[in-house]
Amino acid sequence: MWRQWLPLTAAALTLSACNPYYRFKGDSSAGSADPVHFMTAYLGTGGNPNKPGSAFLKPAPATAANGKTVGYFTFPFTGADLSLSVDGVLTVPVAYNFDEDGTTACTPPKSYVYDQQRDDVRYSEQGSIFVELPDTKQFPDYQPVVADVPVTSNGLPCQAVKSEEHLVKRKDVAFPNGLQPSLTPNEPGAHSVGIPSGKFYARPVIDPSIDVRFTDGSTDPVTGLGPQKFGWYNRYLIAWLDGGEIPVENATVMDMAGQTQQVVQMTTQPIYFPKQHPAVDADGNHIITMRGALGDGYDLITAAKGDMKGGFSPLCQVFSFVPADPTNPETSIADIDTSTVVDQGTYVWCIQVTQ
Amino acid sequence: MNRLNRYGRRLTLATALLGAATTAMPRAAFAAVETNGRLRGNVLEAQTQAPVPGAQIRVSGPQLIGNARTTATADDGTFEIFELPPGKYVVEISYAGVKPIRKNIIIRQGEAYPLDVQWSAELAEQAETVVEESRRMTRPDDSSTGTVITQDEMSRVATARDYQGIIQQVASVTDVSGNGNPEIKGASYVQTRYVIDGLDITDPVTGTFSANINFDSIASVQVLTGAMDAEYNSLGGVINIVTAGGSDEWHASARLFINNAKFSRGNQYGSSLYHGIHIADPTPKPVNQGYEAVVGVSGPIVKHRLWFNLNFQYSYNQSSQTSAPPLNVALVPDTRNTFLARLKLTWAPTDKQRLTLSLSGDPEFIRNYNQDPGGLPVTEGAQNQGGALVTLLYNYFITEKQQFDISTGFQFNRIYAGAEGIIGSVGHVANPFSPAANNYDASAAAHVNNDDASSWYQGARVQDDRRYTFQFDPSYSLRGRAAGAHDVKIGLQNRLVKWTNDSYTPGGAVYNDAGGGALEGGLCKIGPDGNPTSGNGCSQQLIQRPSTQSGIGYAFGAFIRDRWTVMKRLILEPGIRFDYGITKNTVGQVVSNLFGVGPRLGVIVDLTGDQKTIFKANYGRSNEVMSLLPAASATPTGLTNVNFYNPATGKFDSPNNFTQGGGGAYRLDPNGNTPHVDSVTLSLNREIFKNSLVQIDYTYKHFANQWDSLEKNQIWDPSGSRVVGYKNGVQEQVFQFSRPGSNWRDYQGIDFTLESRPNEHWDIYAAYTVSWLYGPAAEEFGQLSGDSFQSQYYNPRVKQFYDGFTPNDVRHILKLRTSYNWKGFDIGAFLQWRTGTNAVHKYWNATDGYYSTRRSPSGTDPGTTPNDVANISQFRLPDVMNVDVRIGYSLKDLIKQDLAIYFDLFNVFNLGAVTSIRSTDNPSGFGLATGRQTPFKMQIGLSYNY
Repeated sequence: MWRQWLPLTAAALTLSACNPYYRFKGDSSAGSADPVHFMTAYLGTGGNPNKPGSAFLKPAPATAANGKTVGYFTFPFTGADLSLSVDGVLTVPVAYNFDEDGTTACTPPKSYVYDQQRDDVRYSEQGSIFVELPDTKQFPDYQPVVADVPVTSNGLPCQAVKSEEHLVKRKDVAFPNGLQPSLTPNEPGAHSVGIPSGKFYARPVIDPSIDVRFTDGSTDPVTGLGPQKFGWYNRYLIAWLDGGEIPVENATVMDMAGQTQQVVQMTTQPIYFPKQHPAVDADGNHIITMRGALGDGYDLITAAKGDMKGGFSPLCQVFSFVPADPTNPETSIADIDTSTVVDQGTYVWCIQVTQ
Repeated sequence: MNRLNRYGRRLTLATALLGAATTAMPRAAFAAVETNGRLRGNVLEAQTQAPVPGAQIRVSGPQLIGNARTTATADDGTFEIFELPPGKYVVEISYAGVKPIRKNIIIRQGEAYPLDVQWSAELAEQAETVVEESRRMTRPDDSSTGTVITQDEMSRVATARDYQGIIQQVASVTDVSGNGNPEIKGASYVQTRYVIDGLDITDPVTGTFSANINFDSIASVQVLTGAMDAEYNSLGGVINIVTAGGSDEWHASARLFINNAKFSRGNQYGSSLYHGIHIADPTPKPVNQGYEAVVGVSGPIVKHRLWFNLNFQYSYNQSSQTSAPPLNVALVPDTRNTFLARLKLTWAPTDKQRLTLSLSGDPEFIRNYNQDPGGLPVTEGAQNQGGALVTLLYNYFITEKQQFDISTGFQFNRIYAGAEGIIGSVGHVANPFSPAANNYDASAAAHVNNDDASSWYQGARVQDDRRYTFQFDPSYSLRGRAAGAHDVKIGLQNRLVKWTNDSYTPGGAVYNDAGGGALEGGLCKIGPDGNPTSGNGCSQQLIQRPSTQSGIGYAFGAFIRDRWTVMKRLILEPGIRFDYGITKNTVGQVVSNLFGVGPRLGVIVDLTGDQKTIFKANYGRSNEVMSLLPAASATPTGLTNVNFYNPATGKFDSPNNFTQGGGGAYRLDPNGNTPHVDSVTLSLNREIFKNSLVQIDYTYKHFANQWDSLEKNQIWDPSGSRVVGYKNGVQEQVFQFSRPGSNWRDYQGIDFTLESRPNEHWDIYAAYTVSWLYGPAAEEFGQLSGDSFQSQYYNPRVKQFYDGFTPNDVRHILKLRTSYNWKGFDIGAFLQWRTGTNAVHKYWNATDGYYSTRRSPSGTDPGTTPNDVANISQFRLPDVMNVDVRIGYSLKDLIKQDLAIYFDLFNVFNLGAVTSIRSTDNPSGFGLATGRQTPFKMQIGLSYNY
């Protein structure tokens, strides 16, 4: 019998040894995400989906209620309503966030020291796992909001996991809220998914090659990078912006058929912009006034990031106002003539960053 | 019929733009070779199988200058005669008091002819016996793989009439690169060694062949593909060419080959990947034609003592590509005038000494070699190239058991290449573009439109390149008996190489334009003040300074090898070689200082005891201790200012500007980690019937510590799309030239070969190879891909994408050469089919300003749905099949003169498979075919021999 099996075994070993792509299996890095089908707003200023790496993203300054200047990135709100779940069913994707309570941590390589030239990401932490991209073809209804699924490391090597598919199968992590089976178990690649914590975050995924800046236009003098963070989608490296937790409320609404639905929906905060503001003429010498728009640098925002009691939300409802002096618009919401305030009827994602 | 460029590649604008040593570096390694064959055998009494000692063996033939070579059988009846030039011989076996036996044999270079004589009383009583001996094709005393192609075999099939084409007939030899330099068993084409009459003519800079030779002057070509003994040191194969010498008879020959354009189909193909032949395409058929004339004479100057062989070849070739995107205009044909002259003198001052002097020269003048559908005539290139080589072989047969040899020689080569307007004269074709694009201006700067890969206004950087090689290889051979028979050879090998290169960029600058749209309208317009007149298309400006570079290298090798016949059925081939090499760059810095030990062991077992079923196993390590390629790269270069367009100022004054080249942008790592290959070969040979062999070879090769350039200064963002910092704080690229352990590749291959010459009419050679070649080491400083950034050590964010099947990986290759002749009528065919080669999909990189990034492993494509690993699939070009046929007729029987006519039909089915594509992720250009099979053509040949 062995005479029959020996050559077959030898042949099988030979052929398997000739497949170099086994090193690309598992949760190895598939490189950075290709933004070729990314929505325009997520490509940055001057972004070309076929030629990534030339765009930049600079936050617009706004004055918060506390008088401090904050910077925020804007992304269009394209949702049909403010709901995040309907009758307990999520309408937004999840994101897996690791060791956020600080009591556990992933395991870095022995004697690890971050080397920015060598390392694509820091191997002393584990990047969040996302399941959707702002991709016009794969996820045309993309919104920059995720339902938080907490994950705790239990011996997990840092950055060893890069996709939801592999994360939920790992033994060196724990899901405090548990896992639920796939709703489509018969589809190829079906797998369990993490159960969310009930928190929601505004975390827009952007082209990872964008030159993201801080509010003052600078980047970190050491790393040359801005406030973006890096995580993973389906083994691809992505960049995301941390807009903070989204305040939510439970509500009962009627659907199109007149049936009541229990929904979890986002609450917003107002953002104001003056309908006129100062500018300099082409010579750069004379102050003139010009028609204002959101993001021109004179915006007033209700609450800074994290000020949940003050009414913070990364989703802003847009209002305009008429400044008393167009050459010197109001810098506090309290000073606005409320009779001039007009609801623009739009929402916008106002992703504040920390300098 | 297109002649191949010296150094096997074209100097392209792209390589010039890189500012790298465009003509690359010399390659090391020794490939001392066997230029002769040998006769070995035994004489046994037929009935008792008892050895017959003392029988006289006498060998004579027209190739053997001086008197006949003689020896006597030993006590065990064995005999051996060495250093027999390839050709036909008569062996006379005689014994005192009886009539001699004569046998006709054929000696092939590098091989032993095993002659076993069954002596019988009946045979001896005959007055004279002449036996046409069949040869043992199993090569029962040699574990190397490969074969020998004789002039007779070459003449039976249609070929391009150059040795580079001939060797493609051998198993495991491919030419994926398409430049005439073969890849052999996983080695890159820069790792093959070429030897003519004992002189290693491997280019000291590029590792490619460095000389063309008159095809009719070739006596035979030995192609060694692996399992070589310690005399050889090559990471790839060895192409060993022996030229024809004179004889005691006068001979003259004349040949004429005509390949008029009317005999060819011409390129009438669509430009897209899956387009077929455009039958109704009204575009004028591009010209492809060639003519060749050869004359030769040979004979004795002093009979038995001094012979000569002199020949001369002139060829004129013209070729062109069909018009294609992006310009869709006709191309000025590529023309080549080639002169090949050769003289060989063979002198036997005594019966024990032989001197062979060989001189040759090969000047060639090439015009319009780019043939790029993305360029007008002013961007074309010209090249004057040529060289001369002289080799001297000295053989001293001290005794029957001892021999001393010297193989020495010198070679000089020069290439003067670059913009057609500088070196040649610019042609003209009708086109709709501006006068500036059509009228050559030597002071104009070149523009490359990266939106459609078109080139404008100026040709390539002008280079004046000279290369020198000196070789001195003495060796001593000793045969004797001690626990079996030994054939020991000890040798020293010395090679001194030098290279110098002067270059400058016509117009002083090159602009890499992007984003402005296609064609001339998308170019960045430069005003009289040197600044853009608008921002359209402006992206990158390269101001390139003139440069002078040089390199020198010396390599020394010492080897000892034995061919130890332990017993009749067992031969061992132990050996070891020691190699040392050193190279220095322009300013005398030591770039490499390497030492390597190469043990070898071959085992040959005669399984059936009749030399018809032979098992061979071989292990060996070869080291590459001297390569001038890194020395030419790690050297001060002409400065290049890399300037980026700044939209804010409208000038090329971006804060990201940096300077490239000069004296500091490289780091050296001269010691240790010698590039080497370990190989294991298992072979089973079986003679299935007379003169017919079936052979199965399995080869595993591990190429380790391959040379590469490691970028050490740039800090990339996590996406690998842009540089966000510099390690030394200076905006520059710094390359270290080294041999990291992570730079490896593996080859596994199985060859199935049938070689048969059952009678004088038939000649059959069939080979099927299945192989796998994978690993990250697929590049050497941009020499193989034309892009030095295509390496795992350039951008660490995409390092993992340089692993996988390499661009030279070809899964299946089938070769079939067969010929039949009968009463002067000849027909021969050569079929080659191979599966498609790997391709790479390259994406835009903002820092580099062109398409240098990958998004999936080597040999794959990410697919049209991005960011989904499930869509990654193997990415290969289509399979390629080619059939060439020769039909000939000799009038010798009719007119009593050796006059023959040939009809050579190339690509008889006029197949047009795509052989190369545009690999950049330009939405409108990715996947366009940039090369297809040469279409059908016919060549008529006339041959006369006197």
